[in-house]
Amino acid sequence: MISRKHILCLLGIYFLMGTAYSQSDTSRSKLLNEVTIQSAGTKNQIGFYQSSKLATTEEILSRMEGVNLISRGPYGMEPTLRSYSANQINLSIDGMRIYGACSDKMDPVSVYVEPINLQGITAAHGAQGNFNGGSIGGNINLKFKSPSTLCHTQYLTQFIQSYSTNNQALSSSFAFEKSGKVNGFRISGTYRKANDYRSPDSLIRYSAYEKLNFSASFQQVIDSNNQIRINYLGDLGRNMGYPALPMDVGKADAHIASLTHIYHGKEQLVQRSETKIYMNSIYHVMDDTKRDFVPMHMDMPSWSETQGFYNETFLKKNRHGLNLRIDAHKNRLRGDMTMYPKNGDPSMFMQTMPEGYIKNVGLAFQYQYDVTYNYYMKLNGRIDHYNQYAVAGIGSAQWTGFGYDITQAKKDWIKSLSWVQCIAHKHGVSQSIILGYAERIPSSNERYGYYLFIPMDGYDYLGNPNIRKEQSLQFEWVLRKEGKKIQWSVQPFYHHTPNYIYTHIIEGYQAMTIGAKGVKSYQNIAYARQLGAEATFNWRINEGIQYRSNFKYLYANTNNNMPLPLIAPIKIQQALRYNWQKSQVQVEYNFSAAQNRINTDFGERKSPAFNLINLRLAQSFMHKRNTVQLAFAIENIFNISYHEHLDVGYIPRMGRNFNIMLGYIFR
Amino acid sequence: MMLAMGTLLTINSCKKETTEAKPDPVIPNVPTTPEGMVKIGETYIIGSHAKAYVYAKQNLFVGYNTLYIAMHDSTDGKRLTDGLFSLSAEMDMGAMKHACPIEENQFIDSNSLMYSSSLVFIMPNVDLEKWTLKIGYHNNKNNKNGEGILNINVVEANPTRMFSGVLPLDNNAQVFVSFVLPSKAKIGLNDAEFTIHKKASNTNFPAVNNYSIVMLPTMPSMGHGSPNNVSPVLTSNGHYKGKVNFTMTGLWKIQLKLYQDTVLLADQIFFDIVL
Repeated sequence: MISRKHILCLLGIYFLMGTAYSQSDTSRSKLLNEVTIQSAGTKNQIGFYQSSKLATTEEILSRMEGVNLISRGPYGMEPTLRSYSANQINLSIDGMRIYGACSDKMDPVSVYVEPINLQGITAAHGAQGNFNGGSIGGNINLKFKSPSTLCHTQYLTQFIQSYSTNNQALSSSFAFEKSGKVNGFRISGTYRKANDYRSPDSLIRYSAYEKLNFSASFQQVIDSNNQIRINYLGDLGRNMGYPALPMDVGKADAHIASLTHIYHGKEQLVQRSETKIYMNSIYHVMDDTKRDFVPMHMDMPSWSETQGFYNETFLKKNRHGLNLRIDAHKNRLRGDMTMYPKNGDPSMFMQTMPEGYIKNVGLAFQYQYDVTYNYYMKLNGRIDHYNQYAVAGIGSAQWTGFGYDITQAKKDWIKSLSWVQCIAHKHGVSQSIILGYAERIPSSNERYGYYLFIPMDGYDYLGNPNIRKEQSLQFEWVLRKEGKKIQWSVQPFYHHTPNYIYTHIIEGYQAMTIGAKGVKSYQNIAYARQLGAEATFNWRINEGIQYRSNFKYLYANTNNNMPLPLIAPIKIQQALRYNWQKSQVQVEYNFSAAQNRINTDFGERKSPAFNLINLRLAQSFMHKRNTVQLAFAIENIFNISYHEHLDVGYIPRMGRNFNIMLGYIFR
Repeated sequence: MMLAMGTLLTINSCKKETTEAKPDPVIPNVPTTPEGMVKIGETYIIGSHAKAYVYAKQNLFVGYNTLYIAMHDSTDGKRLTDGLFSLSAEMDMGAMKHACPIEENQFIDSNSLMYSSSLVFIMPNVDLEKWTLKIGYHNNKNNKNGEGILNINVVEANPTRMFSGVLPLDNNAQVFVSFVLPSKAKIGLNDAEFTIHKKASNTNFPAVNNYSIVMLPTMPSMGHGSPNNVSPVLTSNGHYKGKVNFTMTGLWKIQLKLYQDTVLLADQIFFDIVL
């Protein structure tokens, strides 16, 4: 657990800051070298990141710097940061830890936030993104929209409806918000229903889905410094198809609730303090009853329950800014599997994820010192204590057959430190050098997973309870220009990852899943290395015409020069937009290079290059303070057949699609 | 019986006045069946003033069974713990009689205060063909020998717990392979135990101590096995012990291959087990 020494040390910094310095105007936003996109307010970004008002959160993510998506179907795509995925990154909602229940990663937590209640997404790469939780790849935090408590009462009602022709997908969203002097509330909901989609060549079966998402939040002003906010979000998914996997999801229910206290200091040392207690529960049931070829029917329910809290406090004095965070959470995870032989033999039961707990306490800080007017440095650190164990039961009994008592807790200290130096040059040009070190614990799958079938390589995966934490040494250089007309950035990086967790075949073990090739497990290899770069270029050509683009490239190897799996090829995403009065035309051109550097251990195949062109038109009509927005899009205009390299099973993506959207905003 | 009832009444009437009831000093005439066991039968040991109460963990079946015998004084009903015990079994098939493999134990178990013996019943009772137990006891209390006869019922186990066959490569020996453990399997690693006996004559079934076993558990419904099994090796007296790993619940099939030196004697020996 956290020693008293650590707390005293942090308290020491607290008091030092308080007595030694006086006020300065360091802005908090500078404290994080991260990409934040706001879905409300900043008009210039929304069009590029959020191609339509009803674009899914995943679509927005896919356009962010250094973000790629692993797809197992049109629903539930899993975000990756650079080459890092799953437990290598920390994917959080409003600072809360949520663990997907599905042992096959069908339910990344990003599916729970719909754009209508998305305030913004923050993505920070590597060690400097570890404020919310220890990881090596960084952090993606999805922030809920909350009601504002303004000085006067205001109402906002929003309806958005859209229809896609390709998969007859209907999406409806609504939101109602009341903001007021002493309190405000917001309710919102989204319903999506889609049929199987069509690639240019065929109907992609098992790609339909249906889901309902609803949220409510209430904010109460206590006094001029203090506010309380209550948040609830529910997400009910039904019959969601995963064409790349042998099973679909019959039911996925998530309930996410939090209570937050927010303190705003006025010209004081403590500028802001936020304390949140939260809990969430996810119930996930896989389903094979709709499939044609089922060698054996299976029930696969899984559960994930997390409770936690955090406190984040931001202090500022003169040229020093300090953000402190203490948090703790507890997660219970369990995945069951019951198989029913067709010949009437007795049913077979096992826990693919032995019921177990992860308990964590963490302390983090971000310290910024503005050395001179054009030079600042930041030091970010985090230390976590993790306790991972299984409860006594069937799941732990299974592991006795492999010589492990997994009820014995695995305890790890996870440390992370990064140092950023930034110099501002003339003409808006700045450059930063970032040095970082980070660690992560092995995931529950990597430690305790029990014959989890991964269709990508066709192996059953057994965890390795003795696997050690993964480490990462990181170097990054950021060159950026922020001009009135032109903004650009170049961001090369190099990561060296000792004890990289990699897979290997266990010789002599028989696969359990019918048709699987064998059994694999995890081991720490000497190291892996990842290098790559992101670049952006935005040009406001004139009042009406704007061009935005971004570039992503990754190169990643094991110590044996085997390319790492699930590494996206070079990608260039471009958008040209023309605004004229209340009309807007946007052409998007996405290029993905071929990926020929593949990991054959993981069953990867080469992916060809593709060029994808979309066209979007939008027209707004204003009446008093009400807005009606009509939008029309043609996605994949030339109906090309393509897949992204990170698409599991290389299932072709959607062919040409016409989308029409109608939105109303009443104030 | 009257005594027992009287004691019960006393305990009941005392309850209101004192919270501590004194333990019953009198052993009831009919002992209660120990927890987790079933009663197989009872018989007087004629000549030694004793009565045997015979129990087992389950009803007797074809295969390896352990019998637990509580010996009582036939006059005052008190438990007898000082004496020498013997047991044999006989199958009367009309035209012929035969015994079965047996592991005798003369001495009492000091914890349970019961005598025990293990037997491999090599066939079930069929119509008039019946098994009888012959229980001998030398009662040290009165220094007298006695013998009692108990008819028992042995049924075919489902799934089967014993294999019998003639092995041409071992001089046409008739062997009996019994699946002893796990009797009730759990998920994960289990002790696996088998016994092997031979038929030397109708009354002599010696333990086989010179075979080796290769054990292969599989799930027939799915066609896979499990890793980390330890094939049973001889411990003593025809017992072979190893470890079996059941990776999930359901129907498992355990295949045994018997070898003498390097000669494969038999490989079509299968035991089903459901967990």
